[in-house]
Amino acid sequence: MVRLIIRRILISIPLVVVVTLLTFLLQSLAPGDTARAILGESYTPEAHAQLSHELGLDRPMLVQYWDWLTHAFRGDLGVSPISGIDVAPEIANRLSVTLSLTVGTAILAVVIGVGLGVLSAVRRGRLGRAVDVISLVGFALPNFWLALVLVTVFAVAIPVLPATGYMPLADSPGGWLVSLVLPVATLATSAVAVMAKQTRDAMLDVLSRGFVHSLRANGVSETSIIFRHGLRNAAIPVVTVLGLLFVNLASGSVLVEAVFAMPGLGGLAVQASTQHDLPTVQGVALVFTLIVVVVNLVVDLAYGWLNPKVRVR
Amino acid sequence: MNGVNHSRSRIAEVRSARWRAGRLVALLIAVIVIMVTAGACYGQRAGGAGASGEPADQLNIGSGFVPNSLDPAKINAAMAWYVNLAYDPLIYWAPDGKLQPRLATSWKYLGEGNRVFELKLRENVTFSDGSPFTADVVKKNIEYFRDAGGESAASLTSVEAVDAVDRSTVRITLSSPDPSLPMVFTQNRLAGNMISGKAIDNPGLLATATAGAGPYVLSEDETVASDHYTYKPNPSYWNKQDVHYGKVVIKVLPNPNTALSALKTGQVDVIQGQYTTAGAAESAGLNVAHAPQVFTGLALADRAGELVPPLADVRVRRALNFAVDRKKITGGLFGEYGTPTEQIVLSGQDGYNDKSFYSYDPEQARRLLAEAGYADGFSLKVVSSANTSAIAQAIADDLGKVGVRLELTNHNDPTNYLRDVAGGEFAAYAIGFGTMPVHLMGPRLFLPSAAQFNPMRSSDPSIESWYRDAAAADAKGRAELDRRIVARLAEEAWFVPVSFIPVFMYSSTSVTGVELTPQRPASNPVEWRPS
Repeated sequence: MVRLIIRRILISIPLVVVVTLLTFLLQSLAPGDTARAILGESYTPEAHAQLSHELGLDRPMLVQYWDWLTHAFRGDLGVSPISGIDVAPEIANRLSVTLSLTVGTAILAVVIGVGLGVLSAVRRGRLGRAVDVISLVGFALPNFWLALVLVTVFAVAIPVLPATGYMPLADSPGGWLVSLVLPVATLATSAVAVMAKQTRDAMLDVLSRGFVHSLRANGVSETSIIFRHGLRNAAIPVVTVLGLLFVNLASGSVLVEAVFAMPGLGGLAVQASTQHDLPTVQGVALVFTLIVVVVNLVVDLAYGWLNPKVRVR
Repeated sequence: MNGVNHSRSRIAEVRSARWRAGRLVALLIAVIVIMVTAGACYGQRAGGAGASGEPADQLNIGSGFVPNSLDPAKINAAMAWYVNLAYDPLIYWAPDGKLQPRLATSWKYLGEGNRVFELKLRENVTFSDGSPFTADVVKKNIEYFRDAGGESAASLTSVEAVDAVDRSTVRITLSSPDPSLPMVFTQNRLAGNMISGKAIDNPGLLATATAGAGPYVLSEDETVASDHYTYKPNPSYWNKQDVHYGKVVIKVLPNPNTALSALKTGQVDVIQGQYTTAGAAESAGLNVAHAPQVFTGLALADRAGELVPPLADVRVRRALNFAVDRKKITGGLFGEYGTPTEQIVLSGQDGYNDKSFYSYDPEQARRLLAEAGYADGFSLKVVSSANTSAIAQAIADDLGKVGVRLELTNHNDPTNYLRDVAGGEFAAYAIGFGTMPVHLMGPRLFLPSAAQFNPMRSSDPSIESWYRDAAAADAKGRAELDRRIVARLAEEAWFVPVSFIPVFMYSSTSVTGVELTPQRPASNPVEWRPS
């Protein structure tokens, strides 16, 4: 286990370098530049040249990247040339928002999605078809539209939940929970659909296998067959999907963050990209890469726990 | 017997499963009830001042912009609220358009020619960091604003020397005449927002903190950058009667629909609006204030015909102005809130000509094009932004009817739009330009030095001569020369102005003083009070 973790961490180092280098090059090649964004309507060629020099943007790209990388490995993600704010604490603040949304949604997806999937696989018939329909509807509803509908219903028409905003957990646990209800419900709609569909299909496959008939013939209770044997065997593809879902949620919640005015990482990434704020874009890319690495590691560890054969490999 | 036992165990199993399912449902219902109850309590707490239980001394503002900086010398004018609360200006631009004393008690130009400007300063004023407000600090401020490269720097390029004559008198000597310094030193033109001398010595701090002599000071502990900014009263403020709230919070709400929802639910008390949501705001019973501010249309950048030869002929540029149905476009895009215009300034404003230059006359447009040798029309590359793409499309439709084909490129990213406008590869661009005195417009819009909005460096000797004369003239002489400049721009058809579009402010009934007027189409949060 420890060797697996160490190996993964070592593999992640070149991954981080490649992703951040690609991000740097792509952002540098995009039209516009930081000095242009700062000058805005005050642009003159002379002012642009002077500001580019002051910001070090006239140095070769690889020199700029190396400078960023060496500082990043020391934990210094630099200062935003647009806002003058340190990038690391800014990202830390926003990471808590994105993780609250992502983890909350993942929990709902597991509890409700897996529950619905198991229920429909066991009962089949109408319930199974209902889960299929719910999954289709969940897939089809655009997050952005659903968020506006939820705000209109639960914040404006029936004012029981806040329309916008995020309350840090440290400030008020109750407020934090309440501020997450609508955004998490928005994100969870499609996540639950994905998990329910995946769980149902995996469970149907497992429950149709021969060893399940043998267990029944030996008088093993149905509960034990479903939860101890069926769900455990069906869990591997479900965990895989959950891992992908988590990464997608972390990087794809930007629209929901925008509708609910939540200061998450997605919004920061979009804002920094449009302003050509390279240190912030690089910092966000680094954090997203680390999230992918950590989630993949957790998924691998879960495989090992669910299927001991995986541990041997 | 075994069969009977098996059936009993199945029945027990099913009952057990049902009991567990029932328990789960009960638990879910309990969680929902708790959350809804907590939500109701939260909703009450998050309400606006006086609207739903919030202490009446808190003002919650929704802003569509994340400030690019909190430094008054670097922040964009569109985000002025973030500095208005913490920095008092030298001169106050009141809603009626008049200039009033604030940190400067009086001001005047010395001698003739608008080359030497003197300010008398208020005494016994201290900044929020405890340092004194003196003539030396004002000198330091003006030099800092001039050299910081922000929006106000362009208005201070002619500042040659700043002298602290005595503790409360500052004299500014200019390299060329400039009649607009009183306006430049107001809160909305930014350069008047005085920063403490200590902070100017360490300007990095100004990105995340405030150091002004205004009614409030940023509470850094209660601020999360890019999300919300909390201001508390400045204990050393010189004019305590202007402090109306115990706390002011600016919440960043970039999405207009989200902002409107937040206002409707009482989470915020005031937001910036836009014409797309104005009807919904009025229907919801909110106070809607609006005033025309931005002239929008086409800027024909290639007036010498370097990229598109037909544009060198003034008859062609006039034809484009005759071909556009301003009334129809304005009504269609902006409804009752838009004002059709043939000039780049508003009626009643500095430089306005009380006459019509271009009525809608497509036949006249066709005649002028034929006279110029372009009866079959021509093509024109035009770049637009997110804010101007709709008007560019509407103009393209009208010009298409007289044979002029616009090839539109739209950039939602303002940086790319500005890059292309200044890049000189587009013969025309769709423009949205906030109205301002003609003297301030010159170096930004129509003089050869306007690098951003006059990318092909178009020049007109008459305009430049009148502009120089107006800079040195008294108010009456300047008014006449400004009128000539605006008329010349219209007759030479450098632009195809179509509409003035308004700025909007929406506020709940818990707040008063949220005003927009044609004389000052910007509202200042220090004027807002509990109703």
